[in-house]
Amino acid sequence: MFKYYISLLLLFKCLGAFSQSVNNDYESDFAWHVKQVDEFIERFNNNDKTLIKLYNKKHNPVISLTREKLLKSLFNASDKNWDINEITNFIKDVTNKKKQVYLDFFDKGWCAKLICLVNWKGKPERVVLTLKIKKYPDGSSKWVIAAVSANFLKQQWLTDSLAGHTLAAIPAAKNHSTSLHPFSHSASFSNITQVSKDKTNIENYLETPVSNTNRELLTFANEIINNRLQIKHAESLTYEFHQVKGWTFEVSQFERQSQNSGWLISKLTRTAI
Amino acid sequence: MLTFITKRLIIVFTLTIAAGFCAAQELPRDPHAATAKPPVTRHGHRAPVKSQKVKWLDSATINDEKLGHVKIDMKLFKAKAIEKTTELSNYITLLASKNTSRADKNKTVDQACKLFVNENATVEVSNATRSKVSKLDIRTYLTNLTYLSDHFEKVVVQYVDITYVPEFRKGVDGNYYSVVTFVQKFEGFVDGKLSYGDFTKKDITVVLKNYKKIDADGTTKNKWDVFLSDIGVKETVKMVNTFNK
Repeated sequence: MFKYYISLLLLFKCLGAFSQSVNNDYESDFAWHVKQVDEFIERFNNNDKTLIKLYNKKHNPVISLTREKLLKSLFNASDKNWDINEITNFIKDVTNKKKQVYLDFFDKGWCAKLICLVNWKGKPERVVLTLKIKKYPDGSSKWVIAAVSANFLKQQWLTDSLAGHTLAAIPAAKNHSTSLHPFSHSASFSNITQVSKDKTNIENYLETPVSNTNRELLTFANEIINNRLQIKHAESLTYEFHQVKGWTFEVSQFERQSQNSGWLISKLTRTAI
Repeated sequence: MLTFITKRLIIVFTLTIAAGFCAAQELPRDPHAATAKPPVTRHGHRAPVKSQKVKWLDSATINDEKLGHVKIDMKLFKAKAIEKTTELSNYITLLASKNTSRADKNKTVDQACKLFVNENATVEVSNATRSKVSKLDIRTYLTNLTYLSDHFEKVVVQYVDITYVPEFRKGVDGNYYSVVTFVQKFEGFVDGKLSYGDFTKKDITVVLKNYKKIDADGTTKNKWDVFLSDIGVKETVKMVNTFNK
């Protein structure tokens, strides 16, 4: 009987210890998880104040997190098709001792690609919005739509052109304080619906001046102004970076229980310099 | 047979404890467990528990068109952002608890809404692939939470002891924005057994806003305070879900 109770006691202790180990693993995974693109940029730049460096200093002080290690950790490790030589060359270029490369949140060389579900003439459609950060001399900034891509908008523009209809100019905003604030990306642009709700100030949400050649963006704005298009919600978000000379990379979100999770490089392409 | 099992358990027990020591990590704190009493807040409810301290940019001097040169203590406001997020978490625990009366729950919803910049703030809940997205205004989201205790006899809410708060950025409306990202562990019990459990990642937009305050002597002073705004809730890991079966 005594042996029976000892066995049960050991069983419960094992489960408790296992549970403690699970909680510790989750905390460690979350520390490594790249929570926002801002944190991605901090790690890419080897910022000493970035959360993972502070966490590592506290919990694993013997392990040094070099810039190379951090850069490697920013790649989606579950993709087995990576060309390791490409990654190595990329990291070499970024960490070149003669000229290290750093990402800048306010640089024009990156954008957010947002796939949105919209309602157009009563039917569901999808659009891809290209958003960029616009910074002003007073230090303020906001996200603006620089481009739109959607087949139905191309068709609408063609239809309007053939019918001789010209797109109206974007009306001036009545209230310049409304916008997609600079942290709109942190909640996956859940506030993107504001663009179609705040039609009288639609100018605030577009990269202005809008060129006449930017037909899909002009059509998109016109459809909103004329109450034919409403944005329902954002479906997916990725980022594209062009700030490293000779390279383009895409950053996507990987939600999984792993130290390699969150916003990670999902695609790396060499480009002409 | 029993000796065989006992020997195996001793080995597993020893290895598990050894793994715990080798990991050399702290247990996540659970200052917000629903079974524990939350401390008193400045609104008359229990005060939030302070989170871990992180070193940040201490202050920033801004040249505001309307206010002129203003020194903003960024360290203070980042700490306030975490404090208000913790306060919201405490309210959520109260709302989900069976021990809170309906009248107190209604008051708690009102108090929680005051943490937000306005009631147009939304909570968008999505699953890992964003194939299911639901969006509610903050009051509706909080009110829905009050009915959780109807389904569970006990609710335990815990938080991983890590929050991420990047530097504030100025918006074109003159307010400053940032985000607080953290993970919540939720467990609901039925008949003493864990019926539902999940980890959800929360991204709470925070707004540092300027407002005017009239002092007792009648002078108007410019003040800054942190308010919560839109929340993104992403379901990450489901531990167990016998609730919907």
